[in-house]
Amino acid sequence: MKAAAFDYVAPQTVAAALDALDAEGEARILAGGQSLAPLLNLRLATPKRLVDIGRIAALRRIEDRGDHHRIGAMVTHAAIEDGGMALADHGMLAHVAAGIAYRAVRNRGTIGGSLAHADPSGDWPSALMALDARAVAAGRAGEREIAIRDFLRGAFATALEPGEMLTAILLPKLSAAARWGYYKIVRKAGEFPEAIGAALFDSERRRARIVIGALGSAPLPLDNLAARAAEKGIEAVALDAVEAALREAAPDLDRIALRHHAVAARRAILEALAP
Amino acid sequence: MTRLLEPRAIGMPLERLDGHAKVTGTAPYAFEHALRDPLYLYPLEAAIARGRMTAIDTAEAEALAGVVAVMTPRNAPRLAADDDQELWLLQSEGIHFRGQLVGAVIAQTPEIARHAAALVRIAYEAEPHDAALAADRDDLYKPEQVNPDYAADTDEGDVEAALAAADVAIDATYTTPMEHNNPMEPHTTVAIWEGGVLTLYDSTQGAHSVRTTLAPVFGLAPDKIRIIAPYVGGGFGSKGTAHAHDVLAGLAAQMVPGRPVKFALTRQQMFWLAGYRTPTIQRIRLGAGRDGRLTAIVHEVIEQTARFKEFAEQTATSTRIMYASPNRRTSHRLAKLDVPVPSWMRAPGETPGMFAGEVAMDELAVACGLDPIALRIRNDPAADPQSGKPWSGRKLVECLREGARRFGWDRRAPNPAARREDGWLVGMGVASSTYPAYALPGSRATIRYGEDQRYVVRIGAADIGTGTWTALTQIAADALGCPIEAVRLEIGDSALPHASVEGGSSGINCWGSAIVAAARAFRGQHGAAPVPGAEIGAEMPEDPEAQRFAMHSFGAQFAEVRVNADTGEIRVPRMLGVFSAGRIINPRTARSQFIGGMTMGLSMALHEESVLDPRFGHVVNHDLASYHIAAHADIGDIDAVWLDEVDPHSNPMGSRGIGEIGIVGAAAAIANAAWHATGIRIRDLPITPDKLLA
Ligand SMILES: Cc1cc2nc3c(=O)[nH]c(=O)nc-3n(C[C@H](O)[C@H](O)[C@H](O)COP(=O)(O)OP(=O)(O)OC[C@H]3O[C@@H](n4cnc5c(N)ncnc54)[C@H](O)[C@@H]3O)c2cc1C
Repeated sequence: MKAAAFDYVAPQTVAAALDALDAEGEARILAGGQSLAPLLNLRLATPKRLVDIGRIAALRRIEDRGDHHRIGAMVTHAAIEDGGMALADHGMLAHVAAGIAYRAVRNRGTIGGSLAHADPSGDWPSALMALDARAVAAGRAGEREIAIRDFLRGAFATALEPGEMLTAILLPKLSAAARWGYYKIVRKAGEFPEAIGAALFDSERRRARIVIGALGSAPLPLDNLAARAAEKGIEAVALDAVEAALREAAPDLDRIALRHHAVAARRAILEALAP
Repeated sequence: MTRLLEPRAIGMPLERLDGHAKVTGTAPYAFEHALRDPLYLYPLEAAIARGRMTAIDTAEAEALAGVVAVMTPRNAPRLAADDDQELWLLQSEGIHFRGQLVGAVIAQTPEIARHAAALVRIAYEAEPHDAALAADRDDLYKPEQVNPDYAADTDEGDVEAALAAADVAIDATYTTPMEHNNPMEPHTTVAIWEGGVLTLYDSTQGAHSVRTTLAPVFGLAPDKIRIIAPYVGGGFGSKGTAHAHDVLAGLAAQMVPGRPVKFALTRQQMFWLAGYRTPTIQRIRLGAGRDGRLTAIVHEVIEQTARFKEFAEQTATSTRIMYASPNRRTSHRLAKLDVPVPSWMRAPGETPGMFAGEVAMDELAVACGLDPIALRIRNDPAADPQSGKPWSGRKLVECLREGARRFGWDRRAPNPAARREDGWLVGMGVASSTYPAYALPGSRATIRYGEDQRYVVRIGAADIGTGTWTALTQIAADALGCPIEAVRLEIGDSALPHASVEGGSSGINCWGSAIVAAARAFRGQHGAAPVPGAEIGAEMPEDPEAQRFAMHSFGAQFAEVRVNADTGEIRVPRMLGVFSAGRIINPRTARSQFIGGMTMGLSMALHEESVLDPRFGHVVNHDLASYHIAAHADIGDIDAVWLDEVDPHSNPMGSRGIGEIGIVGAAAAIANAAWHATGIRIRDLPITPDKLLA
């Protein structure tokens, strides 16, 4: 299928991009196009105007900001996979990036596009939530920071207001003691996952996160379980315990989905905590 | 005994002669032929599953700039023969299935055609439809025969008495879902109507078979239709017969004489316009002595066809020849539904039938406490149980033994769920494989010695990506006793001498036989040093031995399966197929066929399932995002080998055909390995994690 007719602009700056985004939501940002282009072609999305942010050099940068890195929204999965820049994340982002679809998709797909798209089965929403990252949203009134937890509102729903765009992700640096795990269950190579588990334990920074993804809604943090795991170790988070915590947090999951998500989380925890 | 060719070029792993053109994009597929001034067609499709159209409003579409014509039953050219209802298009307002072609827009660009098609308003009078297959329907019927011409039922001895008396009995029902062929190249036709001649650049497995089918439909003499198909991007049977899109393009071409009309199905449309494998419900009952010797085999099949046209998959025919037993019964029963008509999909019949049959044999081995290979060897029949004829070469036992040796079968624990590695349950499974050696009549080849001192070998054969260009060149070289460089092959055009369809794994056998006959006639007539211009033609001779022998290929499929104990995730790290298929003409292209078949079998085992919504009568997951097909990364160490042999009775090459046997039994080997890994018997494909966790 072919997309319905639209105007196309490719501004060079964020300010120009914001100008091109009218507040009524008739314009849509085009990043890597890996989610948007199919939506356009299937005519599930029929924006009047596409604002291609691919020419805005500032959005492609990764900057060291002391206690965190600022990753431009247009940084591609492939750039993160290739790891040109040390991120103080113990390789977690590169690992997650390498597991997204296949290289052709990663060459164009962007971390910002993925987060703004907020597909429940997408990798970045779960991974960035586990990392306590923050989203930077720019609008006419300036920039604001939003914790990923608050940014992701549900399936394909974010805290971005009409006329706002995502410009960067702020990634806190991990301490040397940090350990992470990331596991997804896929039925077939290259498919979107059936279940995602992400785990992060940073004892020095007193952070413990377990996040369940691919639920059909926004990723689900299991903070109590994470705290227990951090405190008591692997034994405290046997599969039964993970399943129980998840059942409580997501009572609607059927038996098999519950099992798959619990196992994904459990494997991520094991990766992170195994000696 | 057939006079065999002396193998010099055949048997060599020659690289594909068309490989360079394909990878550089210069080999023209159907849509790509450079034609002047083409128009583009987009179809109108029925939005109900049964009933009739009461009104068609084309005004808005016709008013659109760039639209040349809107074709509907009101203005479509008349067709001449209605015996094939799939091809009887636009001749009435009736609707037989959702998605049926009911009209077309012809426009200057594909985009305009598609847009205009969306502007056509069709009003319907819907009738209640019925699109749900079930075993307990009261209207199941026995077809007159099953594809291509087998008896629907067989019954020998007294199976009920034998089952009642059996020491060990198996009674289980197996199901396979609706499955769809998805060749890379969609079904495509470019039609030109000029001077009373219809030319189709078609993506087909048989230029002549399409011509033979379409000539009466259009009421044209065969020499007034020409089909051109030099390169075809896969077919698997779905391009083995003409489908409705060919007719639609032909009708459209008649409305715009002289201008090519290009029509390629979308991927979605392939899910209702290009045939599919019927879902099957198969009950198998086996009776045996304690020693595993079979005393009764019953294979009862329920499957579907379309109400408007019958296709009866021969699901149980392999059971008729696989194993020895004095008492044997097979049957096929069909439900007529308001759905698209099923058709050929790689090894129709054998593929679903051997899934059920070979899983049942595994269950019998367990019940008898026998190794599954030993059980099969014990029941290997000395002659064809069905016809009583001797085998032209049945080497199933050799395949099983060779495979066991290579695969490390001796390391397999006798009991299931015995091996666990790192949270994964590991098992091995085996299944037999078989496919008949079909010889279709009527292929003819001509050979001409050219000014350039090369032999021009002409036959209307098809290369659907299988390697025909290469293999036939090899056969011609040996038949003529010349180097392969001295052969110039011409195929893929109905203007060439008649060739049978590339189907039933019979292509190389038939076309090769015709070429050998022509080469022998050529040498007989023109000697070893012909003058330029010397030419002769010959038809594939009838093989008298075909009547005396039962000719089938056999194979053994082995699989290692890993099932995650926590999640039921399934991986197939290793597969091996050992085949006995007569002489292998080109080991390189043959290996691709075997491995491709096995890969498709793995895909069938784990992924492929078309979900038909009976409320609407259409396939919901009609795209590759939701109809899952195994990707490269799903395939581990997969290998195919074959016995070094020649079938002395089949044809001058000693070959039996290899295109389909690779898929047969593959899904059963995986299901059996999944059982061995977990102790859980899955009888319903595809094998998904939820079934292993249930
Ligand atoms: C075959 C295939 C397989 C895939 N598999 C996976 C997978 O396994 N895991 C996974 O995580 N993803 C997968 N994806 C999706 C991929 O990661 C996409 O890259 C990602 O979802 C969207 O990023 P994009 O840059 O392409 O965004 P686009 O497609 O350009 O945009 C997506 C949406 O976000 C909006 N948007 C984009 N950027 C911004 C911004 N800066 N501010 C505000 N809104 C914005 C757009 O308007 C649009 O609505 C797959 C995609 C394909 C095609």
